[in-house]
Amino acid sequence: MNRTVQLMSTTAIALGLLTAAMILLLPSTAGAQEPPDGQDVYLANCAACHQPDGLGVSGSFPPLSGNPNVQDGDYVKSVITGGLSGPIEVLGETYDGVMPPFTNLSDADIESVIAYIQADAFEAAGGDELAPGDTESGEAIFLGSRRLENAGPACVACHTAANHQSLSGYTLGPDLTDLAVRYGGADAVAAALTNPPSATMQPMFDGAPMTDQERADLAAYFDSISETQVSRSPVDILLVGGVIGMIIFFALMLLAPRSRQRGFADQLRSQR
Amino acid sequence: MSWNTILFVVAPYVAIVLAVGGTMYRTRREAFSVSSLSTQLLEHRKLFWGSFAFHWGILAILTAHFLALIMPVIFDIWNGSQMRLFILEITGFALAAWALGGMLILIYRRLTSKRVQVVTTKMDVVVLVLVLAQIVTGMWIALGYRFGSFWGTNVFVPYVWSLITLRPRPELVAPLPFVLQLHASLFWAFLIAFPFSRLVHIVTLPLPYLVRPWQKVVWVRRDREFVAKEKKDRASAGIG
Amino acid sequence: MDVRAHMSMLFHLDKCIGCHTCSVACKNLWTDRKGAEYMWWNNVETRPGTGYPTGWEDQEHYRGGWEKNWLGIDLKVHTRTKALANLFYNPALPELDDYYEPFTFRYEDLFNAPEGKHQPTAIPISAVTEEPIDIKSGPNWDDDLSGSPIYAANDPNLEGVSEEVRQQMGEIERVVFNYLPRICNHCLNPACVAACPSGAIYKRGEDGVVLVNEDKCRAWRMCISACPYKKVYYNWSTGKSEKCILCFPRMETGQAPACAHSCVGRIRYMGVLLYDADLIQWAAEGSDEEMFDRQKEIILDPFDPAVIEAAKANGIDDGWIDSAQKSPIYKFVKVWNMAVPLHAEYRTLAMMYYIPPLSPVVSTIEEGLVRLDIAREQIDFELFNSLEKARLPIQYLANLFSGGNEEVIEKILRKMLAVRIYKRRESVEGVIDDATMAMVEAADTTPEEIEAIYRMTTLPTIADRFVFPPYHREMAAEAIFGDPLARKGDTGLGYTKPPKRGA
Repeated sequence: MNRTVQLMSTTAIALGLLTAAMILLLPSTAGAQEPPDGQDVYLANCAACHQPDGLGVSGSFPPLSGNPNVQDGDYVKSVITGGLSGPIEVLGETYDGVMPPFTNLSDADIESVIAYIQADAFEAAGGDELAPGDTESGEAIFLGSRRLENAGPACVACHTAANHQSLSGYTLGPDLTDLAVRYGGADAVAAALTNPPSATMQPMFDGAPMTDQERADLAAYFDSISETQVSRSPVDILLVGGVIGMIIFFALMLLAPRSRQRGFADQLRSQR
Repeated sequence: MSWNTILFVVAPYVAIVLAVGGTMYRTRREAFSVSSLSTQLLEHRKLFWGSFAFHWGILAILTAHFLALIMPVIFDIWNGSQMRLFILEITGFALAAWALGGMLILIYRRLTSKRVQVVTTKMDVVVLVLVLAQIVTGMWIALGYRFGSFWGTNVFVPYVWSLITLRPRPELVAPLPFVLQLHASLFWAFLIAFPFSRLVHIVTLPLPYLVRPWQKVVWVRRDREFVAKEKKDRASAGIG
Repeated sequence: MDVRAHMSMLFHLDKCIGCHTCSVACKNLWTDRKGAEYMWWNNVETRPGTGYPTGWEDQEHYRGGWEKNWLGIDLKVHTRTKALANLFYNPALPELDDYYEPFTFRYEDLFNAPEGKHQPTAIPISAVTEEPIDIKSGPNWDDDLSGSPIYAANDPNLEGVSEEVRQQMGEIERVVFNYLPRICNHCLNPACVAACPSGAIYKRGEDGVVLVNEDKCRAWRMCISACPYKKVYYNWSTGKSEKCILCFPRMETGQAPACAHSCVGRIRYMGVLLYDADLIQWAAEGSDEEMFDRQKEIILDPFDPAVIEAAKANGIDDGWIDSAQKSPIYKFVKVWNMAVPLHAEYRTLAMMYYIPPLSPVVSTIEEGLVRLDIAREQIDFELFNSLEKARLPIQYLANLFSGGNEEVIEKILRKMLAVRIYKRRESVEGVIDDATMAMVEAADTTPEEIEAIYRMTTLPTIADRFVFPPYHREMAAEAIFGDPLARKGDTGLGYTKPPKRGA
């Protein structure tokens, strides 16, 4: 490589770094203005499961209101950043939900939300009762044949459930067959769907929340399949189908008449 | 700076600037070095099975990637039917496998044909390894984290658009599996290698051929436009 | 009328002795480089034979030239869309072995071999891989009919020649062959230009030289397939296409191209032809048999005032018009009607012309035997009157040159024979009898024309053979660089960087 090329690549790298640096600096200067409001953070991130009134969902998500554990700030912070799963006991009742780590929250956010929780000044929720869901609509939403009103992705993009086993292979997200069991009932599922408990899902549904009806339908669907015996084909259909497809593509190449033709000189000399 | 920031904010911008700047420099100032560097004259039997399969396969896959980027909603609607989703995924996987098969044949050809080895440079090896890694990680994702055609438009496309609109959101990629992050990072490596390797032949796809007149006559003295342009090119190349 | 000028070469095949001096001159000047070892921008083939690359005239295999269809003409190799589809693998590309694997010898073994019982030898090695190879072929492997059961027997031009005649052509006492030197034909309707997806190949307006702009060449290799003469080559080392440049740097300085200049038989002529570019399309769309006549039709008379006026209006200066009037090519092609392009039926309108060869001199024609019972004065006319029995079949020559049009070839051969017989009678017998004059008339010529042809064929000086117009290179340099003195003292106008293979 000659000197001009070296010079050029160095300039390009410098330019690229400069662009990146400028872009990185932009949001941080813009975002460092107001201290976050604890209630906003709570409603946006926590209220889906722990409910706006802080009373939680029976059997799945423990109450925060009146819960002595929340007074330990460090413990709460570790749960928010690290997540929590497995059965826990609060005020004599057992809860078995799943809480993912909330890596999207800044330290300031966490501090403000802890203060909000510790103050125990939750505002009672008004009329959050969902209408009963429809199992068939729920399945349609799961498969994406009915699109979510706010254009969020269908569940089947990443998940398997019941007999929808994604061509018997691995998916990006976990299997949801026993979701309702794990969360402790349809209500808990519906509540969790307000703000899906996964770092991958959150940004997708951030600007495109599910409607109440959709949540109810999905919850009803998950409730209906929770006892299903999952049956999977022993072979991965995507893998097998893909390999067969590849063989077909290669076979089609045989149709090109010149693929196997020998060179002119070669043909002549082999006449002898 | 975290790895996330380095790999998904800094690296893509550096790679894009390098790819665009480098390619412009090379096609304008080092035009002689731009060529598809065909080796068909030296060896053509294995080339047919390798090159044809690889190029058409990868072209189809890249087109699908590009379409998903510019019209993700169409993909979401298409995938709303399980049958259509399965057809798309199996076809896509088959095309990728076709490209992989072609690539392996091309690598085998490089390793076994003496004539082809004579014109093989170190950069060719880098390109072969990069592209092979890219196909393998892509197929791994398709198999292990399905259905990419469905979630890709909702997880990854917003990230790419955040890059394009200069409001990068690397946190979108952070929770994704390692292979996916590797697949994306390899693409930046691909972009960086682009202007310094034979990959640059991709931008010379001769689409104007579809419409240009058959014959081409150049008048050394009469075509003032040609002359003026030539003069400019030469002056800027430091010849004139 | 869109008058343009063209530099054309003419090969007088009756004079070619097949010495390959032209090929070697060209090789030393242009293709003695890595990646170009196998290229012979100028080559000489023995006919009948399959030539170089092997069997290049078999267009069903190599897909060169243009094809006539109900709409007009189309490239035989591809449509525009198919060109893009074939970028990744060009099905009609010759392989290296269709040319030959270039070789050299390991000469250092002669000096470095350890002492032993046997004389050291320089073994052949491939110029590509530098490994020892078994030489299977070369650029003139079928020279002088060597290997004729394979090569000569498979000459595509033998189509239509009866089996009996084919047998005779190979018999020991009747064996016949001629030489065919070939360079790029710098066609008026070049298929290579039309086939290039990158638009890297172009025809120079001023003199018609077809060139590859290697800065634009992207190695899609379509030119190689599309050229029916297989005169565009792929440099496997630089990854660019290359072809005969008609030695334009020499022509621009008034020198004949290396091949023509070095020709020991003095078979080559060069000069300007004026042609009507508006008629190219029409000319290329004729039927196979019409092609020759139509091509001649678009060559213009440089003495016609209307042509001169149109030429001047097109920027052709007096020097070029004067040169066109003196052009030996114009005389052979249009005035004397003696020259034909190679394979007119390829429809590329090749601008290099050939005078077909006469058959070997024989006293008489009869199946296999020499007849001695013919009267002395009749012997000369025997062949003239029975051209169909010429050793080199008319059909064969017609296939080679005029798209199967035998009448064209017969006329030319008759005129050449008339010149030969007339001058023989004149110098040996000292008298021109009535029979001779009748023959002259039958050959559609005159004693004056015969004299002129005779002089141009046997006695031309170098200035008669090569008539170069003033190129006014200084004006071109001015147009490009503005100040003509800006580059005084510099060497060349070409690359300032070595043409090295890219990564």
